[in-house]
Amino acid sequence: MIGTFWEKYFVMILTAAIGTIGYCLNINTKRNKIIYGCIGGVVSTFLYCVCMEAQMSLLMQNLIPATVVTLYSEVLARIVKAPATVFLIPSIIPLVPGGRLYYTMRAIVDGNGADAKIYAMETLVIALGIAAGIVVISLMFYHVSHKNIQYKVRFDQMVKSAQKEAEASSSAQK
Amino acid sequence: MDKEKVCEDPALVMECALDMGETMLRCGAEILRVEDTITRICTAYGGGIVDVFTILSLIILSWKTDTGENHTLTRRINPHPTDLNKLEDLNALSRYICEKKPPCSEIGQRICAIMAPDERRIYKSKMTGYVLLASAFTLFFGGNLRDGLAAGIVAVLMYLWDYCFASHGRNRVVYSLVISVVAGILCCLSVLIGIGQNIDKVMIGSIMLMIPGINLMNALRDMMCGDIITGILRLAEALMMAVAIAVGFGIAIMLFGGLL
Repeated sequence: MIGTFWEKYFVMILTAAIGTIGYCLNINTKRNKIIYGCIGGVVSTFLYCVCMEAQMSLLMQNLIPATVVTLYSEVLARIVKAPATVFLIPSIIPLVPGGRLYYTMRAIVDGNGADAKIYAMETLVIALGIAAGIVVISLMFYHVSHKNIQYKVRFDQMVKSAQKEAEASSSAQK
Repeated sequence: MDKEKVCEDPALVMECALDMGETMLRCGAEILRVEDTITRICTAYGGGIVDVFTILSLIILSWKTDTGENHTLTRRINPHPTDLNKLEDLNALSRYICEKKPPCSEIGQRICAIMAPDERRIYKSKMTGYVLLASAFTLFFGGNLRDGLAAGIVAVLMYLWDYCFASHGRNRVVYSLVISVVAGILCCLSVLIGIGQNIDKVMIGSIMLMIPGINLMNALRDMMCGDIITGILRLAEALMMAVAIAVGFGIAIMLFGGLL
């Protein structure tokens, strides 16, 4: 079972790793961080293959890897102290529906409306799955890590200065 | 925060903060990160109340200092290719500024050092990236080795095209339309010559080169943090680019319609 899985998807995982390295070079990531992006790409492809083997729906096939990879890069961002985007974008790249986009366009060019509809639908579903996966985890981390973000304190300060003035005037009266 | 204030002209500090914000935004940072950085820098150099409003192409910074002066500066942001290397450096620099509070001249020098325009030459690493990406994803979507080779050659030619024409004009949608037509024609030619065998796989490999992944990702992250305006702007740009890519390749296929 594992052997056949390996045989079937080895090429995909290997090429995904190479492709993510290429993408990292393309967006000029720091050299010592390319390896993290590569690992993320391998993880997302592996999970995608597992979900495909388990015959899950198209949405889940993309939602689960996207979720795991987002978790991975948000945690890594806090360990390595770099923006999460640096790890997230290369990791997501193997899931991007480039193939579906092409087949949609091809079907439209060939005047094949039925196929175009199916492929466009699938492209949208995949994009939705990836988006949902990213949003769920990022939102969690956003709420944890931005508790002490510096919002404006205008009215606080006004209240404080008013209090100070009141104290000053009361002490002056004494 | 310690009470010890660094005496700097507010106008200079704001200039520095806006420089930081602008460079970060151009390198592909989220709005939240930009606004947070600007607020932190201004607060570090003298407290007061800081109002920042940022969208994709504009930063408005208004600062009421502790002495009661009001200052406002705005800055128009022009698009720039994403560069996560610089973004990381800038992130580290903003941490450094808030911790050490160096004089403004030093900040200016450091930003200049980070953002020094790249030498205009052919970068081997970038070209390798193009080739690896296109060939690997051609194989990923089920092409054979000859398709991978064809996609690699197309990628090299596309990098050279990018090198020659990328800086002309700032409308990225039209630019991606043009480069898609070129890439599509190159893909068709490579199959016609006989290097590649499956036109669809070669084309998918080149599509992966141009997909606006960073825009989409940032659009999502912005919307999630509550910056709906910028999120929508980025999403619209990304969708228009995706449509432009599809139309560009469509035109190329139509040009070679009878032959493939």
